[in-house]
Amino acid sequence: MIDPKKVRLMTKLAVYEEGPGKKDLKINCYSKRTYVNIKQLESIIAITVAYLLGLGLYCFGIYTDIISQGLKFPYQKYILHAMILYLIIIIIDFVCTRRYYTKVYDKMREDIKQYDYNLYRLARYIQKEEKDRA
Amino acid sequence: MMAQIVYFKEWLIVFYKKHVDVVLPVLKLVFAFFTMCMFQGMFPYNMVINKPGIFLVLSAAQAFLPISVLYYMISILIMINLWKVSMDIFLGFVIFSIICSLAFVRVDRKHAVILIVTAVMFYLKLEYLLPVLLGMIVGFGAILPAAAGVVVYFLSVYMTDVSTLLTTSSSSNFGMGLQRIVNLMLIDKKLLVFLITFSLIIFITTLLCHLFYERAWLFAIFIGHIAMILLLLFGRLIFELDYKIWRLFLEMILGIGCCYIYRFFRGIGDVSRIEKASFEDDEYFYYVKAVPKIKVTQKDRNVTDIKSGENEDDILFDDITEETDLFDGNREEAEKE
Repeated sequence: MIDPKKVRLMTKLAVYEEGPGKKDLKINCYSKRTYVNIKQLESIIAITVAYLLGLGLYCFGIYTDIISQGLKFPYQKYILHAMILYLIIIIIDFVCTRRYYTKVYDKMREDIKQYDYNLYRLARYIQKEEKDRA
Repeated sequence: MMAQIVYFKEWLIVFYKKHVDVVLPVLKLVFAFFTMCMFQGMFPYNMVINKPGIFLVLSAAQAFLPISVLYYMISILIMINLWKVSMDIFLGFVIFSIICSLAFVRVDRKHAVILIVTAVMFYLKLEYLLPVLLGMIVGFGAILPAAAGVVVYFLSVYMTDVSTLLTTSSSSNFGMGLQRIVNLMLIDKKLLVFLITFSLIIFITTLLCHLFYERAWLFAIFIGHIAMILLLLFGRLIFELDYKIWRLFLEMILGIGCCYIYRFFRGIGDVSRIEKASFEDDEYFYYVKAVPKIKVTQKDRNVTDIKSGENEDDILFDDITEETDLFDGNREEAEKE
């Protein structure tokens, strides 16, 4: 005999596991601090590589000036500006990444809490069933 | 009148829920086909690929793939066209695509669609509709993709000049085309004004939308559009740019309308769909199809027009119970079971 309440509960669990739960259960393996720090590190590496590529494109634009002026080109000024811009970008990225992934982790924790609670309910329900049978 | 619009919205939600398996792929197909044709129009340098049949086949494939795949398809389309013009410009665009992937596609692949939509809206001369709408719909995450979309559009504009230059010049060195494009981008004040305006308006609109006030979105729409007009007029004055003022005001009015329409229909695409799940216990295998409940239809409602100080929306919606979603929040009710 099929118990509709049990089926409803198991459906909720299955839908979560096959949907957002796939990503959430992976994130749940980490503590909040570790997860945010890992994402921060990934972000810094990605932004640094993107910045260097962008800088390379910019240097290509001023390539003729560099070649024509040679050693008279104000390298120090450009390097200083590039470093200041990089620092600004990294600081903005640091703040934004931290906030974003903290929110992602907090949302994940809410959903996992509900999922854990549904699992607990299912376990209690099965225990009650077995007790009734016995 | 308001009741009819509400019924239409509810009908739309019901229709979408019932036919989501057909409606979503069709919408994706149409969107993909349209955007590919637009981008081919922006970069019409390779006639081999300029065939609607090819776009139709790719759009049909795109209908069943995640929307972020469209970003990669369009990037490849642009690269194929730029390869025909010049190898260095092709490499420059590859580097630009890598920068975009590292900057925002990596974080959320759906944001890549914003880049596509921005470039297309610029091409269709409807760019002023975008910033406030993006701020309301997406938030801060729209700043980088929108900026990249602006850059892609301006690249298409510069390409007409550069391709003519490369065709007519007798001796073209490797790197001449890319250098010309980078120089144009660095000196073009119109690009700078658009980048700053779009970024600031998306930022301001997102901040205003997140205020702790019920009607914050209303302020965001009007203040966002007014701020956009002021920034663009200021830029036009300072740098003596040539965009038309009448178009600015016309699109501002259209933009306010679009924001209202978005606000009203917000959440239609977000409805819970039919979910299919399979699981087992000791006795049975279960193959379950969970169909979300329909909220309200015209036949179920008796609408009475009450002319009073009360909010009409509250009267219309006061007996609609909340749709049960897949995550129940009430522990006490569950424990009673």
